[in-house]
Amino acid sequence: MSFRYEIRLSGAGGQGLILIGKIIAEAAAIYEDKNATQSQSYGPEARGGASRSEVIISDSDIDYPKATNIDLLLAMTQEAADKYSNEIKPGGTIVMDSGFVHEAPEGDFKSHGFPITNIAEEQIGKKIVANLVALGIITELSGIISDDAVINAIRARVPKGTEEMNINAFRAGQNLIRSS
Amino acid sequence: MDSLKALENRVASLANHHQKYIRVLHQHLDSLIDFLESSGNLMKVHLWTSSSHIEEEMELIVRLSDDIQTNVRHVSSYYALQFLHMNFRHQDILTLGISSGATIEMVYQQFMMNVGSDFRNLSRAYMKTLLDLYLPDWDRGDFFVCGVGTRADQDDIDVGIVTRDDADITTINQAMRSVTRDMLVYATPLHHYLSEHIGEQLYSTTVSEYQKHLEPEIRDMVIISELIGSRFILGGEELFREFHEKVTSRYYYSPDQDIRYHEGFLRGILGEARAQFLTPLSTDTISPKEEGLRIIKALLAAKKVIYGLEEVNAWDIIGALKAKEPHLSTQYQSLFMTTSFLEILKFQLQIYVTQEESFRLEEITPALRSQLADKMGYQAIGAVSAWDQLIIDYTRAVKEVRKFCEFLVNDTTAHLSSISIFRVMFEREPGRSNEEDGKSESKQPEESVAREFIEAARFFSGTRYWEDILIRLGSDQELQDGFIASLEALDEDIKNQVLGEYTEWAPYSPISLMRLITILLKRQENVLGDTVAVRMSHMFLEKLEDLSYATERLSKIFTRYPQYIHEFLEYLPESDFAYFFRIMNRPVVDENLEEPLSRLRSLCEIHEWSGHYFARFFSRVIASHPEYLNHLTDSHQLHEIALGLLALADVYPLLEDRKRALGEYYDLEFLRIGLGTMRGTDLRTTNSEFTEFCDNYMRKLFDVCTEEARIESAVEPPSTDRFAVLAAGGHAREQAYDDDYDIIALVDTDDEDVIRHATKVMTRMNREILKRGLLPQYRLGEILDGFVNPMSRVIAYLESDDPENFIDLSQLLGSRMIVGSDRMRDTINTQILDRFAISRKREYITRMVTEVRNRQNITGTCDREACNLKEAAGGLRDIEACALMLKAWLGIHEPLTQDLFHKIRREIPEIAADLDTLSASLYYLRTIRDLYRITVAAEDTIDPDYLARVGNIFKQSRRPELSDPERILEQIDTTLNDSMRAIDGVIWFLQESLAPEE
Repeated sequence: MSFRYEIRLSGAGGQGLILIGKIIAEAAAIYEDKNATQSQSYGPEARGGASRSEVIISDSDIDYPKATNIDLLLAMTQEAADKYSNEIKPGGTIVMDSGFVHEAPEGDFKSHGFPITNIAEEQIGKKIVANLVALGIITELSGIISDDAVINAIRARVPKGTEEMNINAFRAGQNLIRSS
Repeated sequence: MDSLKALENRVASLANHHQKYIRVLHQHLDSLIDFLESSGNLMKVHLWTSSSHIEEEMELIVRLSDDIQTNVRHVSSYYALQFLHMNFRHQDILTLGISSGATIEMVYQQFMMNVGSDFRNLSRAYMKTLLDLYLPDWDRGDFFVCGVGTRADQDDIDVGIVTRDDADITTINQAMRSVTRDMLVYATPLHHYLSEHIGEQLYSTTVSEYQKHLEPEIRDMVIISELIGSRFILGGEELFREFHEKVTSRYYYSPDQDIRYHEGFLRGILGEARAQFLTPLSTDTISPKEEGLRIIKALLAAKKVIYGLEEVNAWDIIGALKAKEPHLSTQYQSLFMTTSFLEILKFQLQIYVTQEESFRLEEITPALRSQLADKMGYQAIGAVSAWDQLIIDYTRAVKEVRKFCEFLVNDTTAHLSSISIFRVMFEREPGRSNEEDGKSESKQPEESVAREFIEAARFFSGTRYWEDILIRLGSDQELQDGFIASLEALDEDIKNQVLGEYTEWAPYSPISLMRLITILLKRQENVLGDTVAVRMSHMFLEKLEDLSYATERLSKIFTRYPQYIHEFLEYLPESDFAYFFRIMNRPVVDENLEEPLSRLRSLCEIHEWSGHYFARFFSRVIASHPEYLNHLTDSHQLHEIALGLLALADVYPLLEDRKRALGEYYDLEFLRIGLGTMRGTDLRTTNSEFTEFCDNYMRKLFDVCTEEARIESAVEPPSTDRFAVLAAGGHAREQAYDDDYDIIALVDTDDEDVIRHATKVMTRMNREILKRGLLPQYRLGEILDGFVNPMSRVIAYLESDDPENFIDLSQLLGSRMIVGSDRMRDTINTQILDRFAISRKREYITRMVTEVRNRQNITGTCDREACNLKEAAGGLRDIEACALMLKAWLGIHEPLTQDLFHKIRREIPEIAADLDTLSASLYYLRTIRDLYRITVAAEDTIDPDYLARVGNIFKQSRRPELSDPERILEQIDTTLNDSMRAIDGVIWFLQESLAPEE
């Protein structure tokens, strides 16, 4: 039976959500031979500084490229959590940066709050890799793409010389789940 | 495979994402070569060099196998090879071009044109080949694929896929789905923004779906912008033209069609451009697209629809505009060059660093920096590295773009004003029928304009540029009155509904709404009660509070247009301050906005905590110099600017300019020191800095006014050996924030010509001082009938038995010379102070004691409901009187400052404790007085209801123990009582000391 997994990455501009959307899509499509689509918001909803990226991964054809029944929502701001949590499918997952999301939305979904940005700053020394920490969490929670595929995709997407830092951030995210 | 190894080695010099193509080659190239060899076609296909017959060679490759997926993998390998060859070829040509000595920007532009063209041909051939595989024998007239993004962009290809209404949409979508998948895996991903947002959310959209989506209103500017910038890639060209006629052409200017679409596009695109201006330049990132190219392209799109240009790429449009607007030819040429630079920089960053749109400087390693700068033709010059030069050029380029594009925004606004549907609405005169819009019924604007406007504005719901309307409304009070009246006249329910519609703009265009509300608040400033302006501002703030990004948006607006927020706060009802401040106290995610937000918060504090005296002053200064709002938190910077203004006052050739610069210097320093007081600067620092700038101002003003009088009367002015200007009162005592300036002007001659000439100087000074909001006061001058008084007349007056002359003697004793020579100072000291006060100290002190006692009897102790810090027993006037008595007793000529008590203490250790008490009392009472003046009013009488404002500053200056209003009142009480006791002690000592003389 075919599967379809929908991920929405939401937050503010500058949090690197588009980048991790691309990484997930490429990890699935290029390194795991799955089908994937990735779209990003640059319409009116992005004008307020909000940022949104969606990835759909499937082992069959993807006819409908918009996420409507979200399996996993990453919310890096309160606004994102409030706005999109009602689109998570029953039994789905929300991952929140608890440094920015102070009121976790309620619903029929599993809720995970981590101080993602703080962890990036404390463990890696740079807030800017919070997106990679989040990617580690997502990879671990979703279980739909392998570590290797994601790391290959990270390598292909980050500037030379920063690979190690970005992969460490990704690992930090994974470890949060593994140790919890 | 040596060739592959060589290619692989070269690819290692590029950004990591190029490894995707190496991976494809490793996986599938062998198979392709096997198929080519076995079919005898190996020599017909270019594998290791660039091909000029890509489409034909791709067609040949996909004929090698019957299996579609095998063909896809083969043609993808070929694509990977050609893609890499193409990029290397163009990099080599670029290097050659740079070394040729040609104008570098022209080399850049040529490079971008060529690489864009080649990339589009390559990707077009690849897409076409894939489509041929997935849609064999298909009638291509049924659909077309168009590119809607930048041609050379290799990170993604934004496409629109449009089908005829009766096409086999399911089959087309299935094919496009497969093409999209293959493009993601093997080539450059396709993005389908248009199809995602219009129609049945598949990969394609029908012409009718576009029409249905776009006809009712202007909503999504991205869709319209992409359509206007679209370029045919493949499929039915006839359909592409038809689509343009039916859908896209409506946005081009044509007086014969419904102008709202054109107007709406301009409102949208100008709003987008302005939003880009609002974003401060990042300090840690370079983003050629976000910081420059997006603005350029938005405004070029505006010009394109105004002139009906067919050109698609930026350079071609600029070329066409040079012909259309020859008077701007030079500026367009500069834009051409800047565009070339920014385009190639973005392209090269993506080739060598990472395939993103923003590049964090810290992520670009030194090796990458050198490589990138080298590839763009930069070389180190002396100590300046090639990379540093590149960054300097980048910063200059984005600043130039913003400057010229701001001009283009204004230019386009003029066009917008001339074609807008609202022009007709606003130009309709009261009681006259409007023939232009075909309505025959006569309408009074006050009955219709506000509602009619908002109803018509619904069509433009997704746009946010209303500058033309706001300029028109803001400059026409009659129109404002009509607008307001038309709202006030509505029934309550409808009024709320209409006001609600206006505030619906808040998420899209807070800046426009804020300005509209400011215009209305200003016009209704003196109208009491629940006005429409007050109600609208309240609804607006409620709306803002619900927007999680409101803080970011307002911070951005503040960066570019600080005066808009300042003006809004200036007229915002106090009851709504808390709302606004709550929004501004939220954190922001974007670190680049933290600094402007901090300044904005500082502005909020000024509006919240400043009294009318300071607020009025603040607003006057900001009205002339809104740029000062950008330095509110940087006292040092404000001081530097002020010193610059002071220096200018020496160099301007015209005296009027010198006076203006001096006035600005005074205003800015007053503002700076006032802000310091609000933030808890110590009294001693405040008074010293305040006195310094006031004295600077007066001295320079004296020079300028003397020069002015000299030129006017062609008479040499009196020298400062014979002419002195003294500060008396608070300015003499180095006390800040006095709203008057007590002046004594003396000449040591009876020559009427000199007196007349000196009077001219003082008259001119008075005029200027008044402009600063200071009242020049001449107590002695009023008594002696002239601003300038000869020494002889002053002496005669002091010798007279006039009971008032004792007060003038005290003023002279407490004065401080601002202008005058040492000789003049000695003359005043010996002929006036020594003669009348010091040598007659017994008489002077006796009269002063009587004065103090009389006043104490009249004013009594402090009334807690209205305590006068100056006149109350033990208050500032008593302390100052006490100091004057001690000056006379000790024969001191120094001005009455805080330090004077220390000096006296050394001279009279017997009353050290009393002097310490007086010094401390003076310090505390002056502190309260200063704070009250800045935060409440320029009054000496304290209203306890407003003491919380004073207390707030104690809190901010980390002295919370002193911040409770009740505590402040108690402290004032205690201070006055202590002061009274100390004054009694000093008087007792003086009377005892003077007794032997009796």
